Amino acid sequence: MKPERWQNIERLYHAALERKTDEQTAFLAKACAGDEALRGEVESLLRCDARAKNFMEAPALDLAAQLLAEEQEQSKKAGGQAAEMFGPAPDASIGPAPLESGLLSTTPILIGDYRLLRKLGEGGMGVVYEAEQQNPRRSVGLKIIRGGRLVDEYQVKLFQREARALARLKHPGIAAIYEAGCADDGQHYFVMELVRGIPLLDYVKGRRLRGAQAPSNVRRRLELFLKICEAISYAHQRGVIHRDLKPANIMVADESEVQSLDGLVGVKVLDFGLARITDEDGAGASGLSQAGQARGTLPYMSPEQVRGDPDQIDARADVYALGVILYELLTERLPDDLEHVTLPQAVRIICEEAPKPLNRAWRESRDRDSRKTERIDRDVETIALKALEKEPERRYRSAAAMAEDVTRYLTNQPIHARPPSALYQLRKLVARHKAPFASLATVFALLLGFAVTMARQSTRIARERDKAVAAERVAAEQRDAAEQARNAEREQRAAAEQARNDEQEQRLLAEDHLKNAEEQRALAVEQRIRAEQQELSNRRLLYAAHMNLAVQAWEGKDLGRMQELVQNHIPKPGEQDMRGFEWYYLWRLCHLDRLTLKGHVEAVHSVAFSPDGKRLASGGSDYTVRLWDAGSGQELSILKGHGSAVLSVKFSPDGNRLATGSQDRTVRLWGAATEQEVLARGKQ
Amino acid sequence: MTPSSQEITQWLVAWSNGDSAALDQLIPLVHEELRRLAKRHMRRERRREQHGVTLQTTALVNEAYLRLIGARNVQWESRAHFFAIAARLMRRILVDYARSRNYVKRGGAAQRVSLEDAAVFSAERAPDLVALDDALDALAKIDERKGRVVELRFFGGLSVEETARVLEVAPETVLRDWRLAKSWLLHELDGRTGYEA
Repeated sequence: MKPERWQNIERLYHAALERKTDEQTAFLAKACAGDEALRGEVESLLRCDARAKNFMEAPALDLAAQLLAEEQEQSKKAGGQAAEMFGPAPDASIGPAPLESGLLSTTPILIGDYRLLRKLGEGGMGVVYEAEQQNPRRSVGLKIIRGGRLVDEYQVKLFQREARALARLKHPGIAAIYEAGCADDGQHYFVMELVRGIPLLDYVKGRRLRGAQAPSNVRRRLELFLKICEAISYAHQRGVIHRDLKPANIMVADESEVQSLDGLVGVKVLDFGLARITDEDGAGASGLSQAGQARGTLPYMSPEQVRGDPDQIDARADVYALGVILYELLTERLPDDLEHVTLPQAVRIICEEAPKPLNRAWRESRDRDSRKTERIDRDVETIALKALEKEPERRYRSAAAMAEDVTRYLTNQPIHARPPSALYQLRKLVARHKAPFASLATVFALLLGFAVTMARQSTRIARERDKAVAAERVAAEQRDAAEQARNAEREQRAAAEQARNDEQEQRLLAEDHLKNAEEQRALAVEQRIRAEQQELSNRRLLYAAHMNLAVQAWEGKDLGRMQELVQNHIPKPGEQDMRGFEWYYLWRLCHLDRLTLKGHVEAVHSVAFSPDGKRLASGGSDYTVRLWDAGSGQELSILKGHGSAVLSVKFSPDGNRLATGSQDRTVRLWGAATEQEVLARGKQ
Repeated sequence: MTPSSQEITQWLVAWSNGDSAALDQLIPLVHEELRRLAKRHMRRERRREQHGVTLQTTALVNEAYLRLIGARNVQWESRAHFFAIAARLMRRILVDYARSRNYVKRGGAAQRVSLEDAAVFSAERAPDLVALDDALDALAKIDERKGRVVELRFFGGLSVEETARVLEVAPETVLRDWRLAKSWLLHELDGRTGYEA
């Protein structure tokens, strides 16, 4: 188009717009002077003008964002079936979503040798489709990187690492990889075994599988858990740490899919997208998961993962996640309630707060469903809590070690894990109130530290008090249990005795009985020892709590309460001595003086020794003057007479008389030997 | 880590000088803004369902552009130049995005959607960015300034006044250019779909 012509069009267009609509035609007919082409072009532009009012008024970025929003809404709505296989999809991310969710429509999509059938689910990194392989013809799972060709190198590296990690693993509990590749258009993908089944928690909560029942009791759940442990333990042996273990990544496979010899359903661990390969990565591991960047799913992340320290993350991070899964399997609750807290709060909870006791969580979940009545055994709780320890070195060394303890429990053998020792708990207690216990050298610093810490943490101490009360109750229960065990033992012994008597007549039978009884007795003895150990550990807890309370009492100037608390822990004959330096220290605080004279019920303002040093006089806010034996601290007499606080007391030089001054504006003289008032003089 | 506005400036300049590696640095930033806005849209959509209220997103979009361009503190002289580069960048990335989206949606065969609806209900429906991109090229050939007005306003998110300052013309001129350019583009898009159909 020639510039002059375009300028004409432009000029006529704007000129026409200045006129009323019904005048435009006439105007143009005149202005174009027979140039019909020109008139036609201007008129067609004018026709568009009204429609163009809103056209392009929203910026392109906003339009693109709307498109993306629509797309995500759709994929959310379609996410229902996806969850069936791979758990709920996390927030979808940008980039051309390669395919719409659900069943793919008319046009078949081919990637390499595979025809995509439907979307199964998506994770943080990739999208998984059910696909059909052409040769050999079979159904497979196909995972491609999210974001199509727009992904960065880092994501490709992670993706390839997942493929490499899976390539190392060949285990019935882990979805196998078949092939990895790159499509013609640069799309990375890998192909793996298609898993048909449902996510772990759905299964546990009662969704039935074909041919298998939901595991109603603890034993069945533990057996299921063992299978997960085995798969993870295998991966660890092959140098692969999963780092994103969670129930959504664990599928309980359809019976028809996994033939299991033990009659149990099989599990499949999925999504090694965040996995780390220990021997291969080396320094590269830190390179790929950048320091300070936490990756994973919050409730299942160990403290070291939450803190984002990649060098510290090893197999024990998976052990922690296994602990959370076990906890959830048993109680259908998470050990930490992270639902309504901010991220920093969540991090603090994960790194600091002890998980809720299993039985309490279990009861809470039981309230919703009265069918469950089984109590969780203390051993099982010990196993779960050991895996959930905050410090990796206190957890099970490996998934295998954890699996072994579960197996031991299931076969009625004693487990290896022990509840945290009282010593350790006391250490934690000390660590929590850092300043005081540490700086024994400077007593004042100690006191100050205590005062400050305690003031701040008085609520925490109140909690400790509740704990101590609870511990007392448990100790009582344990004592009863021990008593019962002792009775049982006695009965068993009687039975054994009986059996021995019967020996005359039925020796063979009796021998059997005897053996049985002995075994039972051994069991009873073991039980008693255990109960005693438990009692001891409870006493230690109680001791620690009381020491804390004593400090609080000292701070609150409640000397009586403090003495009572400290006194309590002088061991009785036969009892173990719990006392540590803190006890002696607190004891000394209570008894810094040689004697404590108790009698005044209000503040004491003045004290004086008699000239011979044998007696002591004191006056106080309780309006009384008291005479004491300075040697024994015994109260000799109470001199009453003043009508207000006694502010000053003084003996005469010969020691025979005592002068006292009071706020009632009198001075009184007393015969110090006779303890009689001899003179009162007011208005001094 | 968010890059500093200085870094963004350097990348933008590098890209306008033909350094394609700089584009790789910029694409994620645009995508992030896109995602952020999309999230707001979704939330807004839900709120509208609940309360029957529509909220303005103009402020949000402006904020997004500013954050992207990161040029709050840049002097106006260089800023004008800079907005021009940024608008071109947005055009490039958003059209690429739309193209790949169409591509995958259609299973690989690039087809265009009819723009009839987009034109009539443009407030609700998005125009096809890919077709628009082509039409805009054609417009720029006839009248370069109108092409730039559209690029700055539509892809760069600039107001009439800002566009006028970048192009160093009167705001009235921008308004007239804008009005004609929109009609012309709409007409052009109508024609394209018309011929294909």
